[in-house]
Amino acid sequence: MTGSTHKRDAHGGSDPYSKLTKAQDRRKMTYPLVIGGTVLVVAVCAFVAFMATRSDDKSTTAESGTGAAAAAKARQQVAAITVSGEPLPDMPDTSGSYFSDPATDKAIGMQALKIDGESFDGSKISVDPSDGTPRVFVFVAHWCPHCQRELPEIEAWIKAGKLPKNVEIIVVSTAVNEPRGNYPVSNWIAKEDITPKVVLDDKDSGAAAKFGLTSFPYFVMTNGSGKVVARGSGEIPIDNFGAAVDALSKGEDPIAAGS
Amino acid sequence: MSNDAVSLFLAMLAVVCLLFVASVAVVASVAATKGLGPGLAALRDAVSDAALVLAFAVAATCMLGSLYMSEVRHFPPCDLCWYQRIAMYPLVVILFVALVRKDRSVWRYVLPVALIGAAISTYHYLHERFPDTVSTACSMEASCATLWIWHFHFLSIPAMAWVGFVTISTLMLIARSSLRRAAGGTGADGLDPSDPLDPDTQEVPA
Repeated sequence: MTGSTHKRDAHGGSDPYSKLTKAQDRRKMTYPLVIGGTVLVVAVCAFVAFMATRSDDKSTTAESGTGAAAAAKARQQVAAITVSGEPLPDMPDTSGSYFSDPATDKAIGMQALKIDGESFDGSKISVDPSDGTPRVFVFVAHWCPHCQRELPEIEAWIKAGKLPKNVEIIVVSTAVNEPRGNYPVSNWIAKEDITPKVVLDDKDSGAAAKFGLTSFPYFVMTNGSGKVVARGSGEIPIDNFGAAVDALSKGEDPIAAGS
Repeated sequence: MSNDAVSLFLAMLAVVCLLFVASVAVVASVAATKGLGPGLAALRDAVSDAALVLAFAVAATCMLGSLYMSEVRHFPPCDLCWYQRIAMYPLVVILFVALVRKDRSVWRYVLPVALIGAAISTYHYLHERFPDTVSTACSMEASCATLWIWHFHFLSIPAMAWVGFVTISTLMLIARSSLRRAAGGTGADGLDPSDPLDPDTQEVPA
């Protein structure tokens, strides 16, 4: 007790007890304010979050016939798809390069598969790779960050008028998995205003498996007669992608041009 | 609340925590240079008194939030997510026991774990933002680079976990400084630091 008295005397002043009491009273009042303020802030956050997510404007100005237009009228995220032809072997490891090595990739020179599927709005999409049009099949997964970056870059490249007239790009949405985020896929496609047609893979990613997909994004380039001339995997810088597509349009080697 | 509302709610709480940490940093630097007036000192003391309950609330919210992400939204936790869970979940129990016992010296046990958790969250966030440093393609399995949630142009799940760890660390530093004030004599407000709410207080008025 003596120690206590000595400590208070050290503050000086006429009545250190009353000063201490005032501080303690103030502290007792402030404590519930801190707790109450915290509860209030949490409640405000909950209210704002609720109000901010109440409505979801899905309006779009996408041009009709595009992937984005079909996505704006989406009634499905996966669909039955028929892929006919001999399945392509799995994509070999391309670490260190954007495209597979033609010397080891057995798919090069094989006939690509024919696709009969649907888009988000239920419209039928049939792709016959041997109909004379060189094509780029781009397989994407909505939850894949690399796909989320690559697809808008390709779209910007298309909108810049760099896609050769004789080449068609087909986007295949595969590996759909709602819990993995960026879902529904159609919202993503509509938001990015994707111009190429988007074909939906089935819930088991059957088309991707038959095309030999092992990772995302995945590219298969076919010439006018439907032969596979290049396969790529992972993010490809848009300049390399563009060079490969230009070569494809001219009947040259996309792998050599895009590597 | 919808799934989007819940994740937005958690993101807003993270922003509030960030503002709190920034405010504490400002007040601490002011206190170190000019000292605190009676009002700010009272607020500081009240926050000190509430440090344990606030830290427990943050840890519990982080734990419930992560369970919500995996069990309700079915986001599969990646390896780095699990390491952060290993750091966060025990804090809920430790802080609860400390809260019941009013034991502010728990900062010695909580702070190192929270800082380790924050370091893992930092690495996870960088991995998520710059996935090319690890790979340029996605596999079919759960990837640490997958961006499940993105709010306010900077908040993902590991970012929110980082905020949680840093907030808990800040509150533990506040608890530590209140202990030191109680043990070391006069506080910055010039008053006796005897604390009626602190069991560690050694000086009892006669």
